[in-house]
Amino acid sequence: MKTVLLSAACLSLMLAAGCSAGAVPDGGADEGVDVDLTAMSATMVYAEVYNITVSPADYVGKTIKASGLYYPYYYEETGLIYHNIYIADAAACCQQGIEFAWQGEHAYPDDYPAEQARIVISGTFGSYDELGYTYYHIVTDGITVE
Amino acid sequence: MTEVLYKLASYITGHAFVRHALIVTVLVALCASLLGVTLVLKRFSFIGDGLSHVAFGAAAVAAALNLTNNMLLVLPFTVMCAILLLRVGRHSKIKGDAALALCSVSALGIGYLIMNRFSVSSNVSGDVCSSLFGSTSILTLSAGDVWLCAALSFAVIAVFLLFYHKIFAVTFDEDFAVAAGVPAKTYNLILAVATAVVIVFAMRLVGALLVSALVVFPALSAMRVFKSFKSVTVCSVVVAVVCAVFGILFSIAAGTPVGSTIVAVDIAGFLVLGATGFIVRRFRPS
Repeated sequence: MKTVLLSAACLSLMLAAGCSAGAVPDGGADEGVDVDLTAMSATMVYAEVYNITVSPADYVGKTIKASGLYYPYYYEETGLIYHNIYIADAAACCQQGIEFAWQGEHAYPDDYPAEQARIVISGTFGSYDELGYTYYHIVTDGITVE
Repeated sequence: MTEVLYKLASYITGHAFVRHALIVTVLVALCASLLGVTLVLKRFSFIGDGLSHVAFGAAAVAAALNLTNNMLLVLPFTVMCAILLLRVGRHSKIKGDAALALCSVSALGIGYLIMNRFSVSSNVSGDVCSSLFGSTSILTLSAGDVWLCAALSFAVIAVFLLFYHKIFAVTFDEDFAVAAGVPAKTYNLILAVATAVVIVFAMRLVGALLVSALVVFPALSAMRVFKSFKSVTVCSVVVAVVCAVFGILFSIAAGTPVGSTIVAVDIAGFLVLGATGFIVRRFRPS
């Protein structure tokens, strides 16, 4: 009996391990989007955003689609308003932000969504230099308010 | 169902951090369950909880000091407390669960106080929540973290396999082991160090408040069905790894918090093996 139970338990382990084998393309993501955060679970989204913020250079040139809360931020030193999308984690205790830039002529606040509005953006992840530092943001064509 | 498996496969093949998390999950669950059997039998089931609180306190000090690698402080401090609790504690005036409770709440309280007053982070409540419940920190491991965890896990497994008979003797009857010439103090010291190492890494998986589940549930689940030390240890390892891997995969697919999902799966495993043990005992030919 013990042998049978142990064998069954070992088989379950091997099956669980076997699930991780084999290359399969990303499921549920939008066509032409490299990192579709809107098609991921909350756990995956947080981990992916963490990796974007920790290793931004790895994501430069990739198309990213994200959904989250809109937060603008005014920085006195440059006199500019920076636009951010905030994404919460699965435990709802942490959230991380990614800066984005809306291509074209758009006036703030008239053309932009209200602060904390839930928005969806899609665009290319890139970098820019300012005040001697390199910053990263998503350059998007449009903002969709959910 | 197929779509979920398809998505999980794409996450595993397409994201290094998911593979890192799975490797560390397997290693931590394996080591925690190996030590769990001994700790449960030695009536030290709650030491995981106490040591994880100590690790939380040390992590808070590391955060306040703005250390880039908090392991340099957390690991030695937790190992020191484990030695005090498992070895020195039994000869002091404050013994057993009282000493554990003292260390646990002191570290938790002082840790939060330090984090609250001196942390340089902009999101203290988020950091505290992440440390206590694990959140998604297991999915944010670097390759260096994985290598360190792998090295320490293999060390723990090697210690367990090499000293299996001595650990067995010290676990069941320490006085008899001493009388038989086994240096029980040394093996208790080895167990204390190994426990502290596993707890520090298990914290990243399930958080400080839930770390006991990884130590206690697999051992107790295995004891529902098996009786010998060897079979309980083997079953405990299998149960721990299966539950932890299933838990983290479910968490990734469903977007639930990793730590609490793994604990929920551990509870389910305990109930299933409890029922199995009941059926086996009931229908076993006498």
